[in-house]
Amino acid sequence: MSPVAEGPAETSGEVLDATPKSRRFGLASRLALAFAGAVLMIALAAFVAWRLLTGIGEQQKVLADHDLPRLSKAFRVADQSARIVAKAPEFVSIETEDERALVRGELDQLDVRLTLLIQEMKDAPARKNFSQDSLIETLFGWLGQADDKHLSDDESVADKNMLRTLDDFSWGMTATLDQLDELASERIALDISLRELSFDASHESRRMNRRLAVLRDDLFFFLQTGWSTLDDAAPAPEGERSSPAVTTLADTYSDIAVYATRAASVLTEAAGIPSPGILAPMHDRFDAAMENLRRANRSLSGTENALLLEKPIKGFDRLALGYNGVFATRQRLFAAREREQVLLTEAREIAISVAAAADALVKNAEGKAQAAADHSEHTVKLGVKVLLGLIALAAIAAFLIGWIYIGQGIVRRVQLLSAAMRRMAAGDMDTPAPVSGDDEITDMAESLEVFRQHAREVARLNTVEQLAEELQAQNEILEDTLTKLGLAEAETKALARFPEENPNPVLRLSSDRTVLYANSAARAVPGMTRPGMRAANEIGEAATQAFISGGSALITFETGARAFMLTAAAVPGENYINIYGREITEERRAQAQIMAQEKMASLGQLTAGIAHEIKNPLNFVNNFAKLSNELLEDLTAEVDRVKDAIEADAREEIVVIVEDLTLNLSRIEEHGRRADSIVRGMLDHSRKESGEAQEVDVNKLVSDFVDLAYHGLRGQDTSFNSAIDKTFDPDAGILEASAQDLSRVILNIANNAFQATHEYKQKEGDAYAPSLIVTTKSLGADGVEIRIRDNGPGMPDDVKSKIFEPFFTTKATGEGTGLGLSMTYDIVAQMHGGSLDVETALGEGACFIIRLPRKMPAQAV
Amino acid sequence: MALRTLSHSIRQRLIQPVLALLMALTFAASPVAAEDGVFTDSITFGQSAALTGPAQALGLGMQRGVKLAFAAANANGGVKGRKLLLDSLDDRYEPEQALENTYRLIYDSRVFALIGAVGTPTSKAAEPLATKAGVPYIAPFTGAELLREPYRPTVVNMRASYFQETEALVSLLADRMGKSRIAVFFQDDSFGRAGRTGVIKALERRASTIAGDGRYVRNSVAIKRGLYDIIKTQPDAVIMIGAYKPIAAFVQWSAKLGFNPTFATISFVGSEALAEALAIRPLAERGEGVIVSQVVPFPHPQPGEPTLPLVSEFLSDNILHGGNGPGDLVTFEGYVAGRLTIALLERIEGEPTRAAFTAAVQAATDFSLRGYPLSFGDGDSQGSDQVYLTELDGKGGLRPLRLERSK
Repeated sequence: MSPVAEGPAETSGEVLDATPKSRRFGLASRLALAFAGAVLMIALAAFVAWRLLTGIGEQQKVLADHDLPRLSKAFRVADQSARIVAKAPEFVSIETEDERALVRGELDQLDVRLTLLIQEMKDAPARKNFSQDSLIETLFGWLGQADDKHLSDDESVADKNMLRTLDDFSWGMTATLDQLDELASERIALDISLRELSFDASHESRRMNRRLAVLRDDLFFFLQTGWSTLDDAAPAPEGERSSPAVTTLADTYSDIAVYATRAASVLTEAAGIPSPGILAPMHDRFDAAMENLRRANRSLSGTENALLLEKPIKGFDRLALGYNGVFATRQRLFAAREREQVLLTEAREIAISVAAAADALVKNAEGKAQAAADHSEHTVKLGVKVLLGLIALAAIAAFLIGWIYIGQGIVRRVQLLSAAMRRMAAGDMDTPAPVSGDDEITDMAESLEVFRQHAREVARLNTVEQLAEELQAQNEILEDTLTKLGLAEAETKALARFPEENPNPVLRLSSDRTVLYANSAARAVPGMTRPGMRAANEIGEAATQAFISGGSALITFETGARAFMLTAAAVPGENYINIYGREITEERRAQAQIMAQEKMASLGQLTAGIAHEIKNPLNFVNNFAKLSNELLEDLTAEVDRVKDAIEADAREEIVVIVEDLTLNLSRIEEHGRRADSIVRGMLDHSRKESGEAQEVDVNKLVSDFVDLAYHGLRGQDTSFNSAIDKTFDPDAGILEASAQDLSRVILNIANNAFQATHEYKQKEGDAYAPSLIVTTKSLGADGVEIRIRDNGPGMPDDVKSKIFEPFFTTKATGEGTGLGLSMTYDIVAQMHGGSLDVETALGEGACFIIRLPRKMPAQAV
Repeated sequence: MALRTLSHSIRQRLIQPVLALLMALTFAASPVAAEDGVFTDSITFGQSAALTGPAQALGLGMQRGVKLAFAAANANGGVKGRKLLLDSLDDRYEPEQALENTYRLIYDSRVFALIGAVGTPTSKAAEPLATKAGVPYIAPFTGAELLREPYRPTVVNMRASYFQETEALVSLLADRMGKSRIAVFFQDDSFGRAGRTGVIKALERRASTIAGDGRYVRNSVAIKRGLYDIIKTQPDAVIMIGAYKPIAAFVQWSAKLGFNPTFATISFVGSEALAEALAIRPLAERGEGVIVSQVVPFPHPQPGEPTLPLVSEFLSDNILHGGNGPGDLVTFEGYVAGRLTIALLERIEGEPTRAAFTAAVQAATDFSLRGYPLSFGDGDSQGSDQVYLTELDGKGGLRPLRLERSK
């Protein structure tokens, strides 16, 4: 059709294929022509739309950039002004400094905002008028909708004037509010000092009355008894007591009390009066009360009592008079209130002006926004009509192009070619490709045919290559197997040494008990056996037993201090027996220890059980004893009521019996309480709640609590005394333990030791000097050892073996519960994982040895 | 029309951010905390008590005891990682000052709870304020009924009531020592009158009544009129309800006038302070044998009796954290109050709040503090019902009462 359309077809033919297919009307040319037509239609529609939208956009921009912000700012200006105006009455009603700071802060915020808003409005660029677009004008002309609403610039000048007025008013308002704020601050300070003055006045009055109370008390007592001070040797004689001077003194005291109370109440009242008129009469009443007060106190002049009362009187003066006194302060507060009212009126006048200016500003901005919105709406309506027409035209043209060119000439042939390709992809290489026509699609069909023939050749070659790869893999597996065979031989040799290296005894006996093999560990045990010997001992018997049963036999073999667990096992189908041993010497020792500890623990549980069981019946005993006591009281009252009906002898008998019963019951109650405290002790003991682990300085703790035990006993009995020798290892250092529970341990052991030596001294006399030796020793990382040694009477073996059991006590019945050392044992052994031992013999004193690890074990919950 | 709606919506959109900003400014100053006094690494408690004046020994003792318990807990890392702090203010045993202090502690210092207040009139003024604000009022040093009835869940009493103490004293004097004429000397305020009522009720249960009474003004030593009133009634025992200074004066003046009944008083007196105040006088006026009822066990180990774990912990904490200061009964009571608070805080799961604390108190129905039974419940705001009896030894100290000796 044109040179432009043929050019690209020629070029593409040369590049894609060497076969000359020049000068034909190809696919590219046909498509290009079709697209060019469609694009031309769309471009026309787009141009018209662009011109229309640009026009609307400009109008909207003026509205959005200028009119709407201006309207919103005008509203904000009006709003902020109203808020500032509303602050004025708030200042007057402010009561505390906190409220003032709040209002002040709000006001400052509002003020800054208003100033910024006004400045922004002033600085805003002048309003642009709408651009006169010739196309739109023409369109408006065609459609007969000429827009004649043009806006003038006169109004923005009026706007500027309004802003200036508003700015001026707001400055005036802010100045007035600042003054109000200062006044509020002054008023609050005055209010606070008045409240304090009022509080001080009542405090002063109480002080006066308290001092008077003592004076009057003394005077009364002197009048009645003649005694004046504790250091008097004898009371004053009768004549001196009732002298006229003494009686006048009583009058003076009551005068002072009356006038002091009156002065205080006038002050309190004056601090709170609502109107300035009654301030002066108040002042007069206060002066009168004070004058009377001073006169009364003058009559005491010269005595120390007058000096005593002088202080509250001076206090009243200080509170009432002077610049900071109640009256002057109250006066200042009234003045401040008056000034506040004047300023408030001023503020109200300014407020009216501000509101008017702000309203005018809003109205102006609203008018402008309305006009701009109308204009914009017109343009939009026109644009919609024009665009709809153009889009309809473009749609029809595009449909025609698609139907004729593309559908008929290209799509059908491409479908045929595509069917041929799908067949090939499915493996059918035997059907040839369809070749027809003379364009790019013809080229594609010819190429497909060439590709089909190549593909058939390639399939044959692939089969040969796969066979070669399989052969290579078989070769590699063969090499790998040969390498592994070499390694296995070394491993077998190492395994053969295995029983010999076993640290436990291993033996092999033949069925006639001859030792076939014994490893080095077995040979090292004397008396076990040796290779070549016949085992005649229990090992041999076990072997025979295992052999006969065909299973295994387990025996314990002991020699000297050592013990072994031996397992003899027959091997099915073999004529020998294998024996595997394990040394159990250590286990045996640990087991013995555990049994001892278990005994202590089960005793503890038993204790708890007993306590729990006894608690309820004991409660019954106690409660019924109490109840019986009350019943006895009732009985006594009842007997008292009918005493006339009873013979005198019988009555006496009843009284005696009731008294005996009361005494018995009080004994039951007393011992019941004691039993209760023991049961509670037992429950405490079993509870085993434990203190938290903390860092404990061992030396300090031991020293402090040994001293505490000493001073405790000294406090009970001054005849007690004991030497204390402390030798502390400075390396004992810090333990992680429960300080509280450890302190109980030390306190308990030291208490026992001191008591034992004290009793021993009472038996032995002055020749014997009690002493306690306390030592600590660091065991390095393993812990600390504490020894508490007394030189008391010591303990026989039967006592020694039982002292850590609950309820075992050597004290007389009623003096000890026998729980102290048992509890101590639990704290050391169970809670801290340490050990508690005692070394003692009769007549040789006792030494308690506490060993504690550095770290307390974690508690099982 | 369209424009009117537009301008309305603009106004809405403008005002809302302004309001939000104002509100943000208003609340920006207050810290965002789960509960007053609870911080990530600490919990603060407040105390208003007499730290100066005639009752100072009580306030200082309670303060020391609570601090001792807190220091021991803090040395172990505090309660769930929070250290316990105590903010104490002096009220000089004056109700007005106690009220002001309590207000400041709740609304200015914003403490989690109040602990260890001293005295009945002071607690009477302060407790309603705390209860209204929902602030726990823990272990006040008073046995007054007004803190026990009616039941308020936020009030946590540790000790037995004055009625229980006066009952124990009357039981001792009337039932076991056979005293038939018992007089009451009391402080003329809510505390003293409560004690007097307690004695009268206890005597009424025994079909008897008081032989006479005498009174004195709080915070003064004007006891002579009261003494005169009591001597006139010829009692053989006097129960004294008051502070240690006037009671010491009362006992001394009695000795001076040759008036020698059996004297008894209740725990509030501050036992060690009373013993010390008397010990400086000549032998006859030292008050040996004055019986003092106690609401906590005697905090010294007694030979032949297993030491209560709580007592030995008090002694060791006093040495480890309290510089081995005085281990007197008031300090011990403060210590028990502190330990009780710690134990209750530890029973709270999750963040400590006042509501959770109150719930922990109500749940502590069968509770024991290291061997010392303290049980609360819903409707039971008093931990211990135990009363212990001691007497002055005439040497400035105390000893557990042994009847054989005093007879």
